[in-house]
Amino acid sequence: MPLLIRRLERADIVSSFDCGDQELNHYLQRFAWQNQQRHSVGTTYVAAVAEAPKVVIGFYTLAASGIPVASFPEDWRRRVSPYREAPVLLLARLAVDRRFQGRGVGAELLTHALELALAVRGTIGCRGVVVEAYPAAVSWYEAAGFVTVTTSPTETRTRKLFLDLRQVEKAKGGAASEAPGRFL
Amino acid sequence: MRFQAELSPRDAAVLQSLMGELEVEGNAVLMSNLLALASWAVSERRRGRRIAAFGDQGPVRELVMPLLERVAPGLDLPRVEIEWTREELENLASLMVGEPAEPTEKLGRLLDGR
Repeated sequence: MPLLIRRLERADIVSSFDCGDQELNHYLQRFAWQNQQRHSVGTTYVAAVAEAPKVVIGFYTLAASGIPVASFPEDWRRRVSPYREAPVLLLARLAVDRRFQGRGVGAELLTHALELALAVRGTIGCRGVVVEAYPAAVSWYEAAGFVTVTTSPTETRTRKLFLDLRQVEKAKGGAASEAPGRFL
Repeated sequence: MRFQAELSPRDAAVLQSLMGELEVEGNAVLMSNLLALASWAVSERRRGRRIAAFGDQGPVRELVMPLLERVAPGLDLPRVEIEWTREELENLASLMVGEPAEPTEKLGRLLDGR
């Protein structure tokens, strides 16, 4: 199933999107566009099929972030980074419409996100990708190499996972600057 | 100008395959055409346009290439703050300081092309 993955556009049809999670549906339908265009708190990339290129069948939202080195436990600070901040990307949401689940759309979206993360690493620097996942999705991310960093119960429903971009570079067979492009 | 490059066996095989498929006999001819293609892609991406392959019914594949993204204006992702617990930061620090794990099979499949 050939997919087109691109930035969310105003004319995209999101009203029929249903991933089975009301919160994620609501985010895409109500907030993704205005967050991207007006508030600049996340860029959403959407997947569509060629037969209906405006109908969104999957999406993810990506934002830049950084972890102040001073916030790490003191023993770790110097070894984490000699600078004030460790840059990371936040994969805030990723969801696929129920009618297309189990067909590799999520994997395609994740691949797209990791390709972008490598591009960011190659341009302005980035240590890794953080994802905040529902418990049911944790094993899916872990299979892709993400490591769960939220190991105790928290007040939030999600758990944080981290994927080191050095590992992603290894999977690509070299440094980001040497990585060839490919069609998604 | 004389141009020499050390290619990996994989890239060398791709080069030979391309030359055969395109019926190009000289490296210079192939390089000239590849440069034209690359120059066009860079100029389009610099203007914020995306590079995609089109089928009969519209675009079916978008090219994402780290080198091209260096000139793309749209990569300035918005910034957000993440709240971390001490435990999460300890776990994260140990991951950042240590050697990266070997890529999982799934990660390899995701990034190795299909």
